[in-house]
Amino acid sequence: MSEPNDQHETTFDEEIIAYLDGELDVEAVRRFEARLADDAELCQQVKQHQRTWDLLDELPQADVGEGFTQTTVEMVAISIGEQVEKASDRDSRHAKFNWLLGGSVALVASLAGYALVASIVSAPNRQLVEDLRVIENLDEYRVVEDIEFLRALEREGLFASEVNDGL
Amino acid sequence: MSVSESSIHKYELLDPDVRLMLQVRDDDAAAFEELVMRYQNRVVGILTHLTRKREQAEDLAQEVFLRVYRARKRYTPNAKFSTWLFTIANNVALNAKRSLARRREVNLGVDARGDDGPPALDQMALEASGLMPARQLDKAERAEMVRLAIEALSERQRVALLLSKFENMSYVEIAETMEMTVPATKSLLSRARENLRAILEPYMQDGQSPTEAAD
Repeated sequence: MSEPNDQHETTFDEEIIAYLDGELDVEAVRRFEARLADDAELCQQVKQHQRTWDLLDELPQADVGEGFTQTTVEMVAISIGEQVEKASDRDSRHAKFNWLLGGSVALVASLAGYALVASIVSAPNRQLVEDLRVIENLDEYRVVEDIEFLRALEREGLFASEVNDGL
Repeated sequence: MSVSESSIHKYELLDPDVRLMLQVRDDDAAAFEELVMRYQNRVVGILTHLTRKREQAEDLAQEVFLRVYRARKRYTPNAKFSTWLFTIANNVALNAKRSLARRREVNLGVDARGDDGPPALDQMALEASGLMPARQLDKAERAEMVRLAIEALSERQRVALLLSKFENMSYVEIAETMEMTVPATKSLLSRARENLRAILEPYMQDGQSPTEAAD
């Protein structure tokens, strides 16, 4: 259906109905009634519209009674209750998910932290193990100042048994 | 649409139902029950004319009130309460009709015509001839004749006409309710009234059906 836009010009039929509906301004009413007084056909048309309009009063009016009010209010209460319950379930599910997610993140963080701390804490020990041969023979190294002499001793296998004993 | 504070205040002052709805917004269940009581017959009445089925009209009316309650927190009084309520009712009726159409249960009778289509006078006469004996129409028969005439209008014409007649809505209010312009509303109502007159006038001349008048 094409509907008139705001620039739509009022037709005379529309003016008749607007007059009957009390939608004309004072000046338009005056003009319309002046024309009505001189135009029998228009007068007849207006009367017919008024008669059909009055006939609409013959339509039976709905009377649903208090029972309808009661069931409507109950239906709304139940519907809103279900809505709240659903929202609550959803919140509960979200809360559970959040707890699980939070727990998992905390566990992973704990493990990562433990690994990091453990690696930091064990680093000096690892260094000590690596330096064990030097530490065990530190007294000998102090009296021997020539590194080439020490390497010669090592090639001869002089330190091997002592180191193995230490390990 | 921005709504000025003065406009909101105006509707709050002038319309007691707006004040009730504001109480509903504040979760006042008694105010909601009062609104249902005030409007249930009017909403069911309009929806009965739109759906042609009383039972469906009551179901849809309950849907309307449910929507009112669900929308309570967003409610802003930028019009009369009845305008807001019947906008919801109109939308609910349209949705129900679309839903029926999707299920291929649509009645391909009078509603299949466009807004400007001529009223089904032949069909009306046929239906009326079965209703009216050769005597003055009694009240029940007149009511049935008017009901048939209303049903012969397009849905938009029917809504506009019913809001104008039974809700005493102005053109501006009908335009707001049906989400159209005021000139379009004026034109729609004019066509609705002209169609109604064309349908009913033959029966009103002497209270006889057209076939009897021809004899």
